[in-house]
Order: sequence, then structure tokens, then C-alpha cells
Amino acid sequence: MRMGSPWSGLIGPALLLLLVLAALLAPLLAPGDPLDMVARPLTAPFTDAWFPLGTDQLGRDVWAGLVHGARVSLVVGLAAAAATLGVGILAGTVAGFRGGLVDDGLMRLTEAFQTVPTFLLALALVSVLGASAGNVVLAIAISSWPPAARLVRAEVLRVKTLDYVDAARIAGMAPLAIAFVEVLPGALQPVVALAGITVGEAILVESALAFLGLGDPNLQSWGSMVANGRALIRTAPSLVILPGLCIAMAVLAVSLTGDGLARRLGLGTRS
Amino acid sequence: MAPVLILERLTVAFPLPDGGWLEATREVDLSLERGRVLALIGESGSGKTTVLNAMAGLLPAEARVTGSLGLDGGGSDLLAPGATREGVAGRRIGMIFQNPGASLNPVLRVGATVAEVAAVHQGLGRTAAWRAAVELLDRVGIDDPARRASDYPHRLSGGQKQRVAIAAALAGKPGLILADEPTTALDAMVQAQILDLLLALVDQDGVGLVLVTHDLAVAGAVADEIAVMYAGRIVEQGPAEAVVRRPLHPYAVALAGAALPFGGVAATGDAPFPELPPADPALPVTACAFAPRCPLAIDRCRSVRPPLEPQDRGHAAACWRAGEAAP
Ligand SMILES: Nc1ncnc2c1ncn2[C@@H]1O[C@H](COP(=O)(O)OP(=O)(O)O)[C@@H](O)[C@H]1O
Ligand SMILES: [Mg+2]
Repeated sequence: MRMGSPWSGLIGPALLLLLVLAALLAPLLAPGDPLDMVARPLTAPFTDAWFPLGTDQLGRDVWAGLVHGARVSLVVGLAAAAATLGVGILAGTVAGFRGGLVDDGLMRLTEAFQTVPTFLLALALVSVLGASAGNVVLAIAISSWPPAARLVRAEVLRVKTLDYVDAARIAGMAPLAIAFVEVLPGALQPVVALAGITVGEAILVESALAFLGLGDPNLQSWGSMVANGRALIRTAPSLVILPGLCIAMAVLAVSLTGDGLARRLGLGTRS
Repeated sequence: MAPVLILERLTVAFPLPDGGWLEATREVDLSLERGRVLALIGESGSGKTTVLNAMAGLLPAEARVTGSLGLDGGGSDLLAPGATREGVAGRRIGMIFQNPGASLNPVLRVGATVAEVAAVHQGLGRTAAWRAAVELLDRVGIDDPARRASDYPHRLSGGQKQRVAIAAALAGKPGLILADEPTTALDAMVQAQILDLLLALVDQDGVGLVLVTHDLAVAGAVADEIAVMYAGRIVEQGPAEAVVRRPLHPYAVALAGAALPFGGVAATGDAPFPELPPADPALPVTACAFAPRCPLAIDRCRSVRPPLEPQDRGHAAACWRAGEAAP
């Protein structure tokens, strides 16, 4: 999406705000456990005022599933992205700043990780570690950190040649302080643009894992709702379409927001 | 008193992609007393920055460095690349860079940049270091220093940034200040103010100042001593006035011809000699590097490199025909 009309920059933040509100207010908007069977199975949308979006084949409220699913998607997406960027920033800073063998080692490691498709690696990790929200976050971070590491490393290589870093060295600052106080902040700007993409990808991976039955079984996630509705796609298409739309909306919201933020900071999307 | 700086036979080579070595400086000797100013002058690529970086311990690890460096009477192996942090910090060297925009961390308040150095070197706590920073900012002529200390660099003009950089250098209580073309990026008015500030500090604190410039007029105006570099070597060295008024080496003569009258401060451009081709540091070491550009070159110049030899009361030149070129 180009920044055509003046309000196009607001679409992302507006959608995101909507999702965040849904996630925060889920217990008020839809009290109780969304996994409880509360009504006649397969109530069609817009036919029952108590269950405006209908129910699935087990009589679970679709509206409740969607607002509680927003919690899962956002929390897992943000946590996974934070872990991904954390690992990437740490590895990239150490590699770029130390150079030499440490750099070579870390870069070979990122290459090794990048030869395996992100989703397959996450899938393998969750099937080994077990399906829980924490493990999903861990699996996403482990499989997605290399691009962040490479981006940060490239920036660190640029920033560490700047005069103010030399000035800090002459001043006798400790190497760790130089790396994380002097060099890293200057290398973080492009990470802002990457952050939106990373959150979006994490939400997608979480949904896909849930779709394959590897999400947290105690949480109602959009991905598992899609999987659940798949068998009934002809008779009750809304069971697939509604959570599917939510996933698309969430990914769009975080990507647009990250992009807009990066623009505001005067950066292009570099990816 | 022992000289604050004794540099002997400094040779620095950088690896070339083809496996060879580029000798950026060759057998450079320098010495400086406290309270005095040495100007290092020469065109771009002559090796001035490399000399300073070697003294400050800032050469990249892959550089090959030989020679010896004595600071404030202490001699040591400080020139080895990757000399320890303690070695670098213990040098009590302050360095001021050419581009004031790049020498301050954009994400730190300028007071923090200065306080950082004060904390490391003087062992001060946070508040004491901040107070020291404000005092230093005042000293280098920053108006309203207590408030300015909380500003980020982008709020300051180029001249103010350079003043902050000088304050940061002073926070380490250096015996020696290395200034690499500190005024090149500034306009003429501010240039003169910054030079005046540096000279005042040299007088008041008795520090030694090595001032790199490619402007002989600036060198003549502020320095006690001038060393002229060409293709990595010092080709002429002597009292500032003698070098400016009676240059001996044909290269120094050409520099003097391009300079403004003694005492004036010229607005510097990047290339003082547009009419001369760039120096070639890859020339065979047996010849005088200036020979290809020298109007007085004779056969001997192309086969035997002239040593740097005293010609006249502390005034030395490396030229077989020293003093023959007309100023
Ligand atoms: N880190 C480096 N790696 C390779 N070559 C370098 C490096 N630093 C400087 N040089 C080369 O050394 C020579 C002298 O450079 P420099 O000391 O910067 O000269 P000046 O400061 O007089 O302009 C130049 O030919 C330059 O290209
Ligand atoms: Mg230079």
C-alpha cells in the first residue's frame, strides 16, 4: 500500500488499536472461557443476538473466540518478535563489534539457520518441545533471528568506524560499554522497520502452527479456529472466513504501523 | 622537563587487497614539549591522520606498525596494534576530529559525552562528573553551559560541537592533544575562534598540541614548529616562522606559494594544489617521492632518496637541492 491519501498512514495504527482494545477488553466483551460450549452448535451468524457471529460445531461462541484469539495472536506475536529481535540484536552487535573469529562463527551460524525455511524449523522445534505458548514463542525466536542479526551487524560495522566511537575508545570506556552504549543505539534505526515485519511474521507463524494443531491447546487461537472450521467450509464458511480475516488484519496492522513508524523516522523499508 | 611526546621511526603499513602493503607513513620522528604547538602539514593522503591514529592507538588491527612512542617521559610498546584498553586510556591523550558532527554521539546529551570521559579518567561519580562537564563546557566558551549540557548534539552549531569535543578531550586531563584538521569543516570566523581556544588551552594548561592541517597559513599562524609531510615522510621540519618564510624543500616552497601572507588565516579548501597530480605512495622507496612532481629534480633524486638533514638552526629538509627553489 502506497502512502496515497493523507489518512492511509492511519490505517495501520487504527487497526492495531482495534486489535489491542479487543485483546485488552476480551473478558468484558466475551466473559468466560471461549472454549466452553455455550449454545446450539452451528448457529449461523447474525441469527442470535447473544451470539452475533454464530457458533462452531461444538457450540463455542465465534465472537468470543475471535476477541480472545486477538490476545493470543498479539501476545505471542509481540513476545516472539521481541525475543527474535533481542537475540538478533545481541548476536549482530557482538559479531559486528568484535569482528574476527567471533564474527565469522556467528555469521556462519546465521547462514546455517537461514538454509532451513523459518516455518519448517519452528514446526520441528514445537513438535519436539511440545505445544505451549512459551514454546511457540521460543520456536519462533530461534527460527527467525538471523535476518535481524545480519541487519544489526551491518549497521554496527558502519557505526563503529564513526569518530565518536574512536573518541570513546580514547576516553578509555570499556569495550562492552562502547558496544552497547555508543555503537548499538546508532545501529537500531533500521530495526524499527524490521520490527513491524517481524511481529507480522510471528503472528502468521503462530497461526500456522495452531492451524496444524501445534498451538497451545488451552488457548483459543485464530489459527486453530481456521483448522477447526476447515471441515465445514461448504456448510459454514464463516467459521474459516472470520478468523482468517482477523489474521490478515493483524498482519496488515503491524506491518503498516512499523512501516509508517520507519517513515516517520525518515527511513525507507529495508528488507 | 621531559617532552610530552617522543615518536621515533614510526612506520605504518596497511594491507592491500592484492596482498601487498601500503606504507602510509615511513620513519616519522616527532617530538614536542608541553605548552607548545606542532603543526603537521601536507596534502590529503600524505599520512597525517595515520600518524595521529598510531599515537592514539586507533589503527585497525590489521595495520603493521613499527617504531616507538614515548608519552610524558614514559616509553613503551604503545604502538602495537590492539594495545590494551588500559594502555590506550592511560595515554592521557585528547583527540579532536575533523568533522564535529561525527565526533559526538547523536543519542547522548553533550554533557553526558563530556561527563563520561571525566568519570573514566578522574574516577568521579555521576553528579560530580556532570558538574565537571558543565565546568568544562563553560571553559570552552559554551554559553549557558548548565542548560546546554542537556542538549543533544543536533541542537548545536558546528563550532559549538567542536567546542564540546574539545571539552570532552580536556575531561581526560590530557598532556597531549591531537587535533586532526579541527577547523576544516567550519567557516572562517568560527575557525579562528576554535584555533584561539586551542591556543589558550595550550598556554593555560601547558598541554602539547599536535595540529594537523593542510593549510600552511594556519600552521604559520598558530604553531611553534612545523613538520611538512609528503607521501608518508616528513620532508621538512623546523621553527614555524622559518618554514613559512624560508621553506627549503621544493614541496614546502610550493605550499608557501599557495598560502596567504604569514599570520593570515586562510579559508581552507580540500586540495591546496589543484595543479599538481596526487602523490603516489607506491613509488619505489629508493627514490625521492616528490621527484615526479619536482621542478628541480635531477637524476640523483630518482635513484637516491635524500635523508632529512639539518640545514640551518633546527630547520631540516630532505632534499638534495634544499634551499634552491625560489619562494
Ligand atoms: N585503514 C586504512 N586502510 C588502508 N589504507 C589506509 C587506511 N587509512 C589510511 N590509509 C591510506 O594511507 C594513506 C595516508 O592516509 P591518511 O593518513 O588518512 O592521510 P591524510 O590524513 O594526510 O590525508 C592514504 O593513501 C590512505 O588511503
Ligand atoms: Mg586526514
